Amino acid sequence: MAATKQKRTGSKRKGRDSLRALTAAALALPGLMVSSARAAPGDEFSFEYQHYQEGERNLDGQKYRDLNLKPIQVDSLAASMTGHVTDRVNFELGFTQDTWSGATPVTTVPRAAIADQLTSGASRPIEYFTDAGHNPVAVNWSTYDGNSVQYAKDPGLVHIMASASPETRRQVNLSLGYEWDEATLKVGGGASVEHDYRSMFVNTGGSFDFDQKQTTVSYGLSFTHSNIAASLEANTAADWGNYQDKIRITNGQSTLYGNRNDFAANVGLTQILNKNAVLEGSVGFTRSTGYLSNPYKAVMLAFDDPNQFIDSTGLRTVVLQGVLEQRPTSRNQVNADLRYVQYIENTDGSLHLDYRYYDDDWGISAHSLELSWYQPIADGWMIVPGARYYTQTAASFYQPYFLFNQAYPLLGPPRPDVPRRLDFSQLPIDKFSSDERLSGFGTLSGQLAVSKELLHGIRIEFGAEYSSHAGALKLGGRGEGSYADFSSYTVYTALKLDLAARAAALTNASGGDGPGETTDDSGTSERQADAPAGVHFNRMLGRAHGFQMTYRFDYSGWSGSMLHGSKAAGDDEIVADGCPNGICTMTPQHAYTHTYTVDFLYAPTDWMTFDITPQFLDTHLALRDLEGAPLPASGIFHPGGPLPSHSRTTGGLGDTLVTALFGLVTTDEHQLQADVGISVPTGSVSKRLNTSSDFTSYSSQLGSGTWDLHPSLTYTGQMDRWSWGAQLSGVKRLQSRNSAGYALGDAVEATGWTGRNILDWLSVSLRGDYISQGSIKGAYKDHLTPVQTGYDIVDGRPVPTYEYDSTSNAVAGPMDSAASSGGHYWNVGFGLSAVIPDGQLQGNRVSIEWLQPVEVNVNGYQLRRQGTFSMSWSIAF
Amino acid sequence: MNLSKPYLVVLALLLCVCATGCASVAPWERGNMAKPHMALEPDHQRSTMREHIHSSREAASGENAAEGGGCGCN
Repeated sequence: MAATKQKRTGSKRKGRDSLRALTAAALALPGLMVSSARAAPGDEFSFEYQHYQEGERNLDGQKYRDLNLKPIQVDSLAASMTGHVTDRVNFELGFTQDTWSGATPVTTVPRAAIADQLTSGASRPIEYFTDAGHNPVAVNWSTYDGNSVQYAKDPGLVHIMASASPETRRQVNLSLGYEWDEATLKVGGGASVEHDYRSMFVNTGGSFDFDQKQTTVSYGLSFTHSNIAASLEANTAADWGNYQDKIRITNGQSTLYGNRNDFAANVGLTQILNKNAVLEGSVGFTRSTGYLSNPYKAVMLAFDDPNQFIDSTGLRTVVLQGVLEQRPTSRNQVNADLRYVQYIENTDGSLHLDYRYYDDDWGISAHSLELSWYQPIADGWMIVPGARYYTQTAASFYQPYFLFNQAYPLLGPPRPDVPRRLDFSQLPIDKFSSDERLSGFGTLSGQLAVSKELLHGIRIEFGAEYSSHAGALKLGGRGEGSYADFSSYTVYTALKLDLAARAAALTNASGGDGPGETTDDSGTSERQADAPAGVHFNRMLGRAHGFQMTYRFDYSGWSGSMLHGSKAAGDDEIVADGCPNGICTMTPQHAYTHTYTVDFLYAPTDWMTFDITPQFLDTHLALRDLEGAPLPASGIFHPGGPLPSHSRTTGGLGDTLVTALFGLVTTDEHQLQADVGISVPTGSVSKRLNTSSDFTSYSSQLGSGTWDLHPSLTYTGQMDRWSWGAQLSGVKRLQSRNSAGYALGDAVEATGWTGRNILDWLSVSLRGDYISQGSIKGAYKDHLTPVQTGYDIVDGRPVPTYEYDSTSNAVAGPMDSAASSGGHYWNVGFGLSAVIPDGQLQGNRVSIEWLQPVEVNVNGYQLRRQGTFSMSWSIAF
Repeated sequence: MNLSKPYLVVLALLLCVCATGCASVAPWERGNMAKPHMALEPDHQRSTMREHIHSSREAASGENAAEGGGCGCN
């Protein structure tokens, strides 16, 4: 086994490790490190979770709650690894995903148009009135006496909000680099995928050092190709005539297809000014061509016909028409950056100053200035306060809405049976956008980050940033009105592992021996085989003050036929029987869940180890209409696809498991371990359907919502090239209801496996598994739904009034029914496990497993489970 | 776009800085430079994640404009 192999190659390795130790020690003397002005990235693994949350915008006094809206939020995860393949060849591998949900402005209208919408009962703003002086007014039609009417001036603007259905974007990127003594070269590429936008990109860059690395010249080139396929179903009020050639019907939905190319180049100069200061300047050029508009943003065109008939009230009517925004098809952008870093001798801190200038041929120029202070404190603590100011001018074709002094230009003769069409050729402009991001504004933000180095190159960091976005903050004034102001905050936590520091620390700690043997000393790792990747089992560390981290990823997929018990269920059966107290109209078509967990194991004593496991997940569920069910309200049957109402996506922080691990028996051949875990309900159970007060599917919630007990008993054994094990585990809910009104069922799992080393560093495993998962107890509680009852006239303006009705949660299909949850599952798992034999990652264990369902018996009606892929990576310190 | 813009000033400034001669800093005098918090970009991943939020709310893109990032349409 690996241990024997190590002894065999011990002398050779020892020589190499001693050299490495010497090199590491030499590097630890800062004076000997010939630091380039622009240093290559260190070898590091980094994992980060970020939550971005916007505050509510001012919707002219209307509450988000009344409109069933939530401000936008973004939950992001990122993992990246930089390392060296050889002394001169380095790589960088990155993964990012973001889940977006909530409402953002789709366009802007005069407030007077909302007043007219309220009083006329129209479903959307279609017109507004002005007085003879062209001032928008709110009209109190209840005072109309056949001759005159009371009205009040109503200036100002308000956003129309739209809530896109939540979606997850994923991005991977990879680059390879080569380091010469005084030059570097990097080539890379990647892809970013979301349901409506796909990008592929390639890039290259490099640097040349001069004058003993006091001066560095760097350059970069990149190219991105993106494809857009955006469903316009949420934007049906707009006239799409300006994009007719780009719109095709896909899955029964009008979809706008576009593509764009982005080409960027930059060149920079980095200069060490003196032993405490470094300066970098760079300029960049980006050219974008193709479809550069945002398919979800609309523009309001307002037509004030100079020849219109004015009746006895004296009011003028301005007709509104929404259209899709139309930006230029090319954009040339120039950037200039200046970065300055000054070391502060007195405090060992550093001051970072970053100024950026931006200018493009859309008329936007922007400045951003950022200041941050890195201050190390004792014991590996570091605090970083910072501030940022950003300001931009508006694009030349931006206006909150566009007013034309002409009659509505009709396309063709008016026909009563079809909606009127706009003749775009009669508009005096052909570029228009009301995307508030192209307006003039400023942003001021403050941030604070705190980090702490735990041991051997492990750093954990927390940070927060608060940002205020306002037209009044624009440099030189004349920014957008205050209706567009908003604030936002970002919080994040990051874990960073300095792989070189770990290797050096472990080498030093073991007196010149390799890290692999150190993990052997702890009585774990290579001598005792671990469980397959799909088994949540961490062997206790067995050595006081030991530390281990395990990063896990699980993918579970469901698709194919619906099951009732263990048999396939037809649509007619689901329609009639799948929904309690009603008939089902929809059913799941396919679904997946990604789960990312990080186990932090720390042993305060020899006989117990603590394991804290935060969890992050994202879920996706695609629905289809059931054949034989009553037609949906739209009257159109949807066999499936990305229709907003047929897709449910959630993502964010899940529950956090805190476990105590106790070793009951530990011999060379047999080990028995008992774990007692408590699951802390940090995951949300209040995720709701888009623009609705109804809760989403039970399986789309991010946590259990209850405090849960997770006991388990695990036996492992090994002899020669064989290993084996068994685990009995359970989940007991400690509360009968969560805040949403239900509790997930209790669960019991029994699993057993055997593994064999086929190479010194590689083993295979076979596992049998049985899970019994109880069904959900209780159900979603009733909730309050806003209903607009009418309006009151306040200060001459109509203000909508709402009442809240208590309604039971909508059940559209089995995914909304508590009875269709849980079941009995028999699975077989096939796994591979590798122990990295060499390099900085020596002693790390990487395992993968596919768990294939063999027999299932589900409660109620559920999608067939396709299987679960698990990956785990353990790194001991 | 007008070419007499500040990015030219930035370049000119840099050239001036170098032309006037920077103090020569020998390799063994670069202990402070080698500290992680003296790097021009101490945390690349953090910068990228912040940039992604900025680019979805602001019109000015960074130099890595053409390296993914997605739509940011919301």
